[in-house]
Amino acid sequence: MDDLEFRTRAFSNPLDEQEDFRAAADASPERRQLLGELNEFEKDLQRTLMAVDIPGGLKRKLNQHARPASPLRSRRFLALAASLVVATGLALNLFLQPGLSAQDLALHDELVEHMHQEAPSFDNRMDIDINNDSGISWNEIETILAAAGTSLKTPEELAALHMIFARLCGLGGSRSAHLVARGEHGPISIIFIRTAPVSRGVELRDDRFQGRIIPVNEGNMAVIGEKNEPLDRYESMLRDNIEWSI
Amino acid sequence: MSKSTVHGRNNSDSDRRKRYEALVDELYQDVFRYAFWLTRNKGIAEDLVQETFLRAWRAFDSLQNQKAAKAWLFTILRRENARLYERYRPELVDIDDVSVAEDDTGEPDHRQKQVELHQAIMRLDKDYRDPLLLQVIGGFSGKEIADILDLNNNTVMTRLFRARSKLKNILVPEDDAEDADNDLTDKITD
Repeated sequence: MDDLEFRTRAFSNPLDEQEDFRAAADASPERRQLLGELNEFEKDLQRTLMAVDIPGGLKRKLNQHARPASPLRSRRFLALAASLVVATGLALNLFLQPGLSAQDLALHDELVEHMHQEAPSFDNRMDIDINNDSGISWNEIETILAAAGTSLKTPEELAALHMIFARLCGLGGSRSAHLVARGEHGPISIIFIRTAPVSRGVELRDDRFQGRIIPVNEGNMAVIGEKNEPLDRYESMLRDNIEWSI
Repeated sequence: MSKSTVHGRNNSDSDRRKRYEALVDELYQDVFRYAFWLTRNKGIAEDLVQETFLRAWRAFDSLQNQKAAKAWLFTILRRENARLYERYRPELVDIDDVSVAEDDTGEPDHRQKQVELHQAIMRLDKDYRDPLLLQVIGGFSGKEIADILDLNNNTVMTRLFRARSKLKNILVPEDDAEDADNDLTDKITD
């Protein structure tokens, strides 16, 4: 094995255990030195690549994919429960919010359920001292928005918000962007859902959250916060800024 | 349906779930690490890992050989990344955001070296970064990497060579190895 081949193999895989490579390494002090340096570098490389914070609770979430449905979650019970919920929702919400379609109410119910599912993730972030929380970078926000088929015309206003959560979520059968900013009284969710626009603004009915689903051009936007959170300024900031890019 | 059939199916479901959970337990951390370095974005990496394991669970019966599980998961992850994220995402990564876990040495010099290496890996072109991640995080051989990336083995070895050369040159720019490495890589064909 000549020096060129040895060097190529040493850089390609310093941990190569093949006999011909090991014999070639022992053939000269220079080769042993090079391999020694590369092995030291390899330790640093391994240490750096493995030093990634694994998100807390990730394993539990992954195991849930295989979680068997409990009897109450079985298809039949779920269908029955869903029809009761929809019927109740329709009766209640149509009474309180006339002019909404069944699709509008289904999106409302899905959104409320989604908020409660995701709440533990962003509630945790609210507990972190703001001085120690650099938040989610604007690059990441733009990435999530783009993947959901949206963008903002004047992102500077939104960039001033302290974002603590940004994720793609499945809502209304499409990929949606779910962002969460720190509000005065708790987390404020800003959600862009690329589905057929609701017939008109849908007020959220929930014990914890308040907010609205608003039709915006070719999709929907929701701004949702705690009961005492003023949300109007966020709505007006966002509704004229959103662009659907797909 | 007879009682024994139902019982048998429950056993089978339970066994399938246990094997899946064992797979998660063994591999989820490496899959997340690979997702992080591939996307260079923690939020997207987490979503990607969830999508990967969801698809793995749905197609779990197609996994015949447990030894191939890691390559199978990494391949699903790469495909989902291409399908869901890659085409939407220009290079919007903040390479100076070094928010990785600290190693257990805690020594300032070590930490500084790790930060520099982290940033150097972030800067590395995807063609070079990808086989390196598969080798170091995945523990795959050149042949396995070639299969995953759909490249030939020589190309993989060349890219691994260049990846390490470039990282060393970024970290030690005064190293005169750069010229020598460039000379060498010119003699290697993809």
